[in-house]
Amino acid sequence: MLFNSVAFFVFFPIVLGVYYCLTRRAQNTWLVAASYVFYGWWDWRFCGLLAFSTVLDYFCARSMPAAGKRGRRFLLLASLVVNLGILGFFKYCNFFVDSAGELLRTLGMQPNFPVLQVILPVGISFYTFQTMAYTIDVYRGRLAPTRDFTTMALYVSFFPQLVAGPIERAQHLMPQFESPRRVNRSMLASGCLLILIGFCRKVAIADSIAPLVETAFSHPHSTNWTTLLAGAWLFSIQIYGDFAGYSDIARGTARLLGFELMENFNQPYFSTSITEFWRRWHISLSTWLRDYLYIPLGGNRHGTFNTYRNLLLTMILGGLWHGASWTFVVWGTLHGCYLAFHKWLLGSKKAAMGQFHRGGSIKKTLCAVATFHLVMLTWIFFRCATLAESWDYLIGILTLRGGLELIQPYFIATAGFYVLLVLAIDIPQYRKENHTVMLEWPWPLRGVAYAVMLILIIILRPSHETPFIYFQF
Amino acid sequence: MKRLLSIFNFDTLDCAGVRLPKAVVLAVALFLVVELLARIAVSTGRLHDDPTLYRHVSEQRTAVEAGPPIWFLGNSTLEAGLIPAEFTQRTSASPTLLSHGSATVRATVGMLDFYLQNASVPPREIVLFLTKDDFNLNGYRAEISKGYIASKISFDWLNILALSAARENIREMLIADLRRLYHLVRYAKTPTNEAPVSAKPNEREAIEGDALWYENLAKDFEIDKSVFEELDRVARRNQVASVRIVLMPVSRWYTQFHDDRVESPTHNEVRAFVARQCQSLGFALYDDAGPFEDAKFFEDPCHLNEEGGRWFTKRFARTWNQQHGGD
Repeated sequence: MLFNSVAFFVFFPIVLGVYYCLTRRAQNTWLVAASYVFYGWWDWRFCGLLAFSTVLDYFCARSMPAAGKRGRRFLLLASLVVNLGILGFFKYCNFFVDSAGELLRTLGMQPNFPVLQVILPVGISFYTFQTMAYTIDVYRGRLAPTRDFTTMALYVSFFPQLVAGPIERAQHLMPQFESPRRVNRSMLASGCLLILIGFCRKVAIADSIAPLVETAFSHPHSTNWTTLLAGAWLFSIQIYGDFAGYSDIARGTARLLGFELMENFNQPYFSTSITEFWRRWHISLSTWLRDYLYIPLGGNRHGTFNTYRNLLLTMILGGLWHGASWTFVVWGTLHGCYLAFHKWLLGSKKAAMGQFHRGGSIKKTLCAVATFHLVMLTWIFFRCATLAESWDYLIGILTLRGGLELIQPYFIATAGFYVLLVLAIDIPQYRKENHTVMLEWPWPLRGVAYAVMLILIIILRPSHETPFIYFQF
Repeated sequence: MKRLLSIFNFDTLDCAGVRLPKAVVLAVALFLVVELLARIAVSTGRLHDDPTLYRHVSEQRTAVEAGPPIWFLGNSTLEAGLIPAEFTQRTSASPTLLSHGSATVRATVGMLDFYLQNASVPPREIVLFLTKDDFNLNGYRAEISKGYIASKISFDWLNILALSAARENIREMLIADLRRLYHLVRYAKTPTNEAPVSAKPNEREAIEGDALWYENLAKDFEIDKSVFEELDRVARRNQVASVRIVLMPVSRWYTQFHDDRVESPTHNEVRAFVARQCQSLGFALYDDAGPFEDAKFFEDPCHLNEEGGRWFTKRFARTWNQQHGGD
């Protein structure tokens, strides 16, 4: 079910209405049922996969305290192998088969591998990482396993964040499920505001930009460089609006249910360095990768070379997490290289350069613009279907394809309008480091802001429901 | 029963004494004012509500419900190239025009099927007006045509709000203002302070198009080979007596551009394919795809202008009369 669908506008009030009339335990059971309906709306067959993952990790984690050291390791391995096996089958099977076939063909062989028709279950990467984090934390002794199966089932399937995160930690979410909840006026207000902002980002900004982005990305080889450049800028805004919009709606709906989800975006495009960008972009994934991949690989504890290697490996795997394609590998590699380079700048004699972004406001602005463009470059690989297409896109910009002809006025005007809209939402939030800063405004100003957002959502929404980009991951 | 009732508890929502915030009241009031203004604008004709495909198709569906005997289907080349009143005057036939901007032949056939299901009586004759890019399985038109029926013609419940129904018109107005602003800045330094105006099409010696645009249309050109068989199935299933294909006039530049970039099929090969298919399936063919040198008839390389429309309508009406035994 999509947040921006008619079905959700019927589903959520019913869930909320019943939820407010139940005791805590009944509320949890009700939410599990609602979450399975939410997930099964897309394809009910995959509810089994969700249930299997829940049962597996519940029993693996629950058996750990009683098991010996080797037993615990075995249980952890069983959980990881099965979870990653399912993820690997559904998400990466054809990618590896295709890549192996391609490699063998370049070596002159004629392999005849079967191509499987596999449907990728929505949100599988998100809930797999979430359940894995739970089992790993129990294994490390950082968390006591829950004895309540409903709590576990709700942790895996909680519908506001099920299909596109934030990837929650059990330490943060489970205690909330296990205690009574109170939804007061401030939670209602901030929840509704987050939902409104989320819809504004998704429907009024991301979905409206999508056709312009499509124009640039659909035929890069025959599009002039100004359109290509504007397309890359606009895609950077589209993906931010789409994903941050989803996270805002998720946090808002969770808040109406009395839960607090972690912040997933914090105005990433105002980052003055690539390291800061990753502290502000998809925070739940970057912290997951840090805690469960980068640090176990050795982090920055074993010398400079190993630190850079770990950064690169972590980001490449982070890229692959997004999708089974070489374009995502390049996306991750570029980010890994950026991070390693920035670390080198910070840690070497070039410290002064590394600290450049901590200077005055002009320096900061320059750094933010540079960081945005470095990130934008990686989005080209993220958006294009193949490496050849990405390369064509880049070449088109770098060779100023189509000459110095200016971009179409329609494109410029529309793009400018959406950039202003993004800034109007993000600048106040950034200045106060608060996503619900609007609640601090005087009421007349708030009233106008709410009305404007509502009107923009209605006027700018597309004629059909558009899925969130991150659903495919 | 007691056990069942024990699951109910009303402690979660803690909103005792909470009143509706003033900001929300103001927001709702402002929204209602804007909605009222939009309704007034729609009723006075300053805004056009629902200029969407849903409405367009709904109107067309209503038009075919009574079962008019002749349907003309196509995309913008049909809209630009045929003048219905003139055609009726010359042939005394009253065709119902069913056009879908940028639609490929495949999408047009899909829409035909949709209309046929809504018609009380099948038409006696259907005519498809096409150009070579409509046959391309790839390219811009194929992209636009994807989901022509599925996604765009569903009922939109939010359109009960005038703001929503008229949103495309409002967006156009907003963008037009921004565009004007852009032009003011862009051409501020030209002596006349105005944007340069290109010559009208019929004042040009030769018609030329935007290369990037036409490359997008012809991208990875691959003929949709099975589309006429699909058309035949749809026509037979709905007992349509006669199917006619018209290849619309195009400019020399248009065909030359295609042949320079696409090794195969060339423009003439597409025409030959259409001729072969029509012959084997028993469709009548009127191939007027030129190409034509005379730029005065063209708005752009593949769309006729008003003069061109009159010229083509006259030619087509003459052929129609010959084949239907009219004047």
